[in-house]
Amino acid sequence: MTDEALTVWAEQSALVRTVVVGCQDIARFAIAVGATDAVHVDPAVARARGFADVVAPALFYVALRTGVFNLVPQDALHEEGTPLRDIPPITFRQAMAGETSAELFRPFVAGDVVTCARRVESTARKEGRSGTLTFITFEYRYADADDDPFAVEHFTRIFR
Amino acid sequence: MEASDVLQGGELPPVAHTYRTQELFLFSAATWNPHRVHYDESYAAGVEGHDSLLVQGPLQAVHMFQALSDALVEGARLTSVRYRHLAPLHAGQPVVVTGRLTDVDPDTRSATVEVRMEVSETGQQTTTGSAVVHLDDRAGTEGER
Repeated sequence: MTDEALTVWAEQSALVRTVVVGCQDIARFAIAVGATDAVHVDPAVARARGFADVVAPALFYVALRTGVFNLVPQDALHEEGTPLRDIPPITFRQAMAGETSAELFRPFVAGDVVTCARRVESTARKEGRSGTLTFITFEYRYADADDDPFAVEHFTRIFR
Repeated sequence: MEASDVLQGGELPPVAHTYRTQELFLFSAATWNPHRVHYDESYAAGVEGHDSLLVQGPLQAVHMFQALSDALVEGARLTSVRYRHLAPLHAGQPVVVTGRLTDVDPDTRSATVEVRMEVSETGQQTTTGSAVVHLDDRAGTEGER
């Protein structure tokens, strides 16, 4: 594998998907993370607090990151579970989560139409104690039709 | 109210938790995460060498910042977060989330809070991070509460 092949893969990794955030999406996420505020499941409570519908917990973008971009046919998944298209052209034993940062501009509300855009921001290879480490940093941008963002995330995966 | 007041006493009261396998399943389902290390114990142990099922990194992050959100004063909200995973965390390992205020910017009415999740028995940090918290313009003004 050459650095050039990695660069080509990175350039071809951009994806854009538009989805509608549903009340079920929010309820499932809230229940899964143990968020018990009724604002996540009860529209009346949400409306009383000034929202149009139920509101997602603050880090709901993590559900969109995988929930949107992992929607691939089962035979398009690597043995360990990652979509094959998300795996750089390298040999690796483990994929791990690296550093993540995110700007949170406003909460996701049921009914929001969200355009989710992903691109590879950077790639890097470093020699570690256990061999070569490959760092892939993705940018995920979640915005409405006017490109007004809900959240922007920078997420690094480490392959070794 | 000032930005230095976003977290009472400047400390996040410790929040203890132990991840159950059902919780890992629900989070993988809610996030459409098919990674086998979170639900297939034979794969997690036999192929990747983990002691048990691995707790999702984003789930740890959600819980760290949720604990912080729950402790913030009314009118304060998270506007950015940063976190990294330092060590594997396995289902059944008791953890505790702690945090403390580390910086205040009166001009922007914001504060930085560092948070961490660590294994209760060993003190091994599994995920650490920080959040910038902003006070709404009206927070703490007369009649607002």
